[in-house]
Amino acid sequence: MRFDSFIFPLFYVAVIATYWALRRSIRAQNALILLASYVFYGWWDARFLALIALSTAVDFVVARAIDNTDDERHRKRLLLTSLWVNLGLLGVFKYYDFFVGSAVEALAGLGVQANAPLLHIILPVGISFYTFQTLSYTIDVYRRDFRAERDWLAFAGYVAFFPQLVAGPIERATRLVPQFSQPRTIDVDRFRSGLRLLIFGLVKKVAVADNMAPLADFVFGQNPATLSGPIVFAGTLAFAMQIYADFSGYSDIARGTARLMGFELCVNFDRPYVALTPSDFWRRWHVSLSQWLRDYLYVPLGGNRGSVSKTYRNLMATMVFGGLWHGAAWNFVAWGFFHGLILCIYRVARADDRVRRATSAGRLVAGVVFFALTLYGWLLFRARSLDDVVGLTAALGRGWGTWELATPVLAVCAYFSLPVVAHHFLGRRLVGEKWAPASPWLQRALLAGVALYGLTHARASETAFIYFQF
Amino acid sequence: MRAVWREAVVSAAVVAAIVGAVDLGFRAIVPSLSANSRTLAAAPARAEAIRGYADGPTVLVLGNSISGEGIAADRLQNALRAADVAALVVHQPADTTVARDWYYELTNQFFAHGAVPDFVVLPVGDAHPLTRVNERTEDLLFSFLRWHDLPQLFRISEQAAHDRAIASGRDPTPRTELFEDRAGVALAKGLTLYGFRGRLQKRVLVTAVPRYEELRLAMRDANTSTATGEDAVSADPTWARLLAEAARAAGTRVIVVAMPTEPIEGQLPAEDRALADENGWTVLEPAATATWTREDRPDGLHLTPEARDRLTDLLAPALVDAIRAASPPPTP
Repeated sequence: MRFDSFIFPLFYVAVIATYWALRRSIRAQNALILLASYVFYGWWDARFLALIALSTAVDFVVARAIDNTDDERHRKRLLLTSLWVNLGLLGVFKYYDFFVGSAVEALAGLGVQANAPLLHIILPVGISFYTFQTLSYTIDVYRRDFRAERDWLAFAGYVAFFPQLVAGPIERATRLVPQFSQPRTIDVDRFRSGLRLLIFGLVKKVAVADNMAPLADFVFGQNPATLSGPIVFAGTLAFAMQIYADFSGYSDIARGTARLMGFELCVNFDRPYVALTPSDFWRRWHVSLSQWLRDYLYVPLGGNRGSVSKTYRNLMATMVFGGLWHGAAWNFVAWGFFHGLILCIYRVARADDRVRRATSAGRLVAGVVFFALTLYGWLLFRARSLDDVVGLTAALGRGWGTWELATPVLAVCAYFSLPVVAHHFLGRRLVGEKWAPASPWLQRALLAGVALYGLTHARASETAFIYFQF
Repeated sequence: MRAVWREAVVSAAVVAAIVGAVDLGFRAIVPSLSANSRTLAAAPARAEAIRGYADGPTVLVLGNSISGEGIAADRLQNALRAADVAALVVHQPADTTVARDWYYELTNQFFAHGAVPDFVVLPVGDAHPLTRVNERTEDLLFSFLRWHDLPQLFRISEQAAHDRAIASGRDPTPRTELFEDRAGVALAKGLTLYGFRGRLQKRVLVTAVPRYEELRLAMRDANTSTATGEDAVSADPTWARLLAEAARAAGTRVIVVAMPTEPIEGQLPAEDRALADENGWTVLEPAATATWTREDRPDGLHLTPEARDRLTDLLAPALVDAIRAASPPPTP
């Protein structure tokens, strides 16, 4: 079920009314969350509920077993069991065809004919999100950062919690699991802020992202050989706005729906396009994934504790893995590699320190330069293949004298992305979560204004949330 | 908890009241903003004109922007009368072009009000019936539809989606999206503001964005992934068959006119001709006898005023012949 579908409001109102009617029993509320979450997910395809149930059961049992023993070898074996099951599911459902297909192609390039069966399985929605979430839980228990949850209902609710099940944020057990054991409360202020997040997120999705999608599809759907620099630039800018509004919109809706149920989810986006350096960007973009990769991959690899070369190796490995997490295709690998590379280059140049000491003009230049790099990253991300990456990159170098259709693409992009730009440059005080007029009537009027904006600017045909496919 | 529920109800009421007020405002101003809305608003008067005309045959052109800029109704009527056919020509150029919309427009805006023209003319504009997107037709459809038409609309649209899935080797099993689609259509039918948003957006974009129309057409031409039809009686043959049945039952004859758009150049595409033959419709291709250049239709679709008059003059004798062939002279 999608947040921007017509069924979701009916579903959500029914769930939340029942949920608060059950407020005297945490277990009853948790049972309702679990049931609602499975309905929410099964609405798309009930067959894949089995994967969530399997992942939940394995990690619940394994984590308890880890928690119950001090035998380090046994603990490690148990952890490996969880890793094998979770990464195995991810490998089969998401990466098998990619790696096998790539290997067959590579062998064919060497003149070796290989035949390997491909599975052609539909990618289960959100599998990367809930897999990473359950993995982090078991690893935290193994590291003794967190005690294993004894209540299976609370744990199953944590894994399948519908506000963030299919597109995050990737919540840490240390943050979310305890909330399943505590009484939840809601007051008028939390209600208002939750509703505001929900509506703002929906508007980002239907009025910004969905209107950017056809522009990006139009440009990236063409033969790169026929394109020129300005149109590639305009299409990439449209995609940059689309993916931000789409994904941060989803995160806002997730946080809003969770808050209305008395839960707090982490902030996943913080105006990423005002970032001045790569490290600044990754503190603002998909924060829950960045932190996951930092804590469960970069640091265990050695982080920046070893030699300089090892630090760069760890950075590159982490970012390439992060790229691959987004999708089983070489352009995602290239995107991760590109971000790893610019992280290393900025690190060599000590850019973070320089930017901190820079004048306003210097910071502006840094912002423009890094935004251009971010855009090129989105080109890698959105391209349909590595061949298209080469073609689009070549197109960037030609035809800057004639803007043709680039002008209307940029103008439409500017018109529909106005809320995103306003949010970035006027700050959260004006249009963000923090801002709320003192008068409740003004708050309600603001909500109505935003809803009206969404109604009049929503695109007619629906477009699925981009991050569902990850 | 009670305070939260109170806040929820008050917030919902305030949002509904403000959205409702703006909706009413839009209902008041949209007819003066949109040519389609003006056409829709004029439909009752046109139906009345057909109902009240008794001096000769009545001809209803269920047009679109292509016919709106391609057929001059007054000139056509004068030409018919000059040829001793005392016809009334009524042109309803709402910006829609698929048989589904024509069917509901004809039955709900004319037949349902006792306005039964002797002839209905369907202009067919271009040759990409299964690969066109028409972002404007949906909200017009909601204006033509009545609530009790929804089950029929759902049944036929879903059957078409099922057939398309089978044809393209996809899983045709109905999924939960069908329920959501139905809810979406009902909501769009219910909310005028929601239905008008496409036109409002387009007006803003056309006004504010340089070369927007060029971009829109380029995007339309680049999109080959949709089966939504534009400019085609045959996008889904079921609707054409329903239209034929309704016209036959009412005693209205259907005439299909191939317009001089690129690339069909006034010749009906084969699949549309097959459908016309199947339903016993008359096909007229007067534009095929002339040569049409970019000067006549700068965008390849819409004629200049001079070219429109030329087409109308070519159409008139063909239409006279069709009317005479359909209405044998009274026996002495």
